Amino acid sequence: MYFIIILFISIASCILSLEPAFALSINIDPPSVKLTVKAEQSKSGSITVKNSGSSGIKIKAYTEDWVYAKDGSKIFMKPGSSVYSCSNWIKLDPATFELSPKEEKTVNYVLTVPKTASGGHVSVIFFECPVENKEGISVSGRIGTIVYQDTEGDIKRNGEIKEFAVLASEEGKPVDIKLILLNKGNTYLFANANVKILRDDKTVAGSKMKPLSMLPDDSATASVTIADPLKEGRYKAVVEVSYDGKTLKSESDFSIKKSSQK
Amino acid sequence: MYYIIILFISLAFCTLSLEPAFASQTSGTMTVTVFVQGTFGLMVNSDSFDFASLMPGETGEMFRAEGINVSGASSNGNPWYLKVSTVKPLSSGSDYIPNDNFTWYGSSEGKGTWYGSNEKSLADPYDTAYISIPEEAELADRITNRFKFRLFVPNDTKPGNYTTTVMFTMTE
Repeated sequence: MYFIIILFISIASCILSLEPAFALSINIDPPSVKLTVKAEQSKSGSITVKNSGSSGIKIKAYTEDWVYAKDGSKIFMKPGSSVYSCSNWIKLDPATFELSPKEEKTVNYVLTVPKTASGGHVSVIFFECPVENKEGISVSGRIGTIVYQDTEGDIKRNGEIKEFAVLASEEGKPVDIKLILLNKGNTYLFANANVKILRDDKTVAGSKMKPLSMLPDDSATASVTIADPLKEGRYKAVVEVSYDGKTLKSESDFSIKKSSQK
Repeated sequence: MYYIIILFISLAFCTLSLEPAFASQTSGTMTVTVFVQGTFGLMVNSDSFDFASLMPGETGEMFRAEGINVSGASSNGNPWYLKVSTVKPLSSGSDYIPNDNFTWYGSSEGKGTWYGSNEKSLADPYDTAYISIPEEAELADRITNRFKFRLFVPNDTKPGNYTTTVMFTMTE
């Protein structure tokens, strides 16, 4: 009988030890939404928030503005700080609630676009665990659903290649390529870029660049290193930027010098 | 030993008996619809830490030697970003310690970009700690980042119990 008890205790210990204890564990779905809404009209939806932890938690839902940082992350600001904000157009229900362990709840949102709105706007709906009064330094977390809004009938999605540069050196050394894309439209822009290296019209190397994301009047930079060793000679780099069914193309000729190393 | 063998035989029998036996079968079709929920989650393994007692001019490490584990997971295919900030400088009434003196550093299990290999101050409220690679954002794997905090108490700091909240923010 003792053997069975010990066996069960061992198995239970193994199972429990696989799952580390978390003071806070929140899941949301979806992490981003794209809403196309006409001026003076509303669109509603919902976000599922789950407490995956083993303790009950309080959740506060609220909106903030954001703009892109240079590293592609987002800088968050108070609602109404950004000219491309739709934070104050969003109503949340419920805005505060509690979740038992493993419980999930649906938070409903309604986005109402004002009469004078045009172009695109963005916001983030945060779900935060408010801190109870504690001694020392409290630790908290928040997770957000990014909101992208297009005003139907008034969207201009235009990109422009500002710079496409190749920094080539000599045989056997990597080739660095830099792309700067401008958002010349009036809404957010997501673009993908691929680079090909041609010699005598034949592709000898290529690479996919990181996705580029921009708000209007902003630019994004992507860099890529072609690690494939290129021999001495003349080459052409071609970049193709695609977004919203459109393609932009740019070319840059460059030379690889003979290696200076003996 | 006999007890264990009997236990395993019993468990195997119970598992097999969950599948009902049918004497005869007919063919047919059935439409099955499954809604697969995406994963986008943030996990933090502590709700507080402290530096115990520090004298002006002294630098202290957080009292929790193992640091704080902050994990992110996503299955949505888009890179995710983890940021670290404080909601205000360490404050005791109207006195405060500027965030230039409050720093973080640590390590990451992820393959993405980790900014905490060198000590960074919390003076920048928009500091990025980790950027996932797209592959990590498809597999729903939990990527754990370990944060440690260090505090220098300036010489002119008045005695008091200084508090703040360190906030971890995760978005796409």
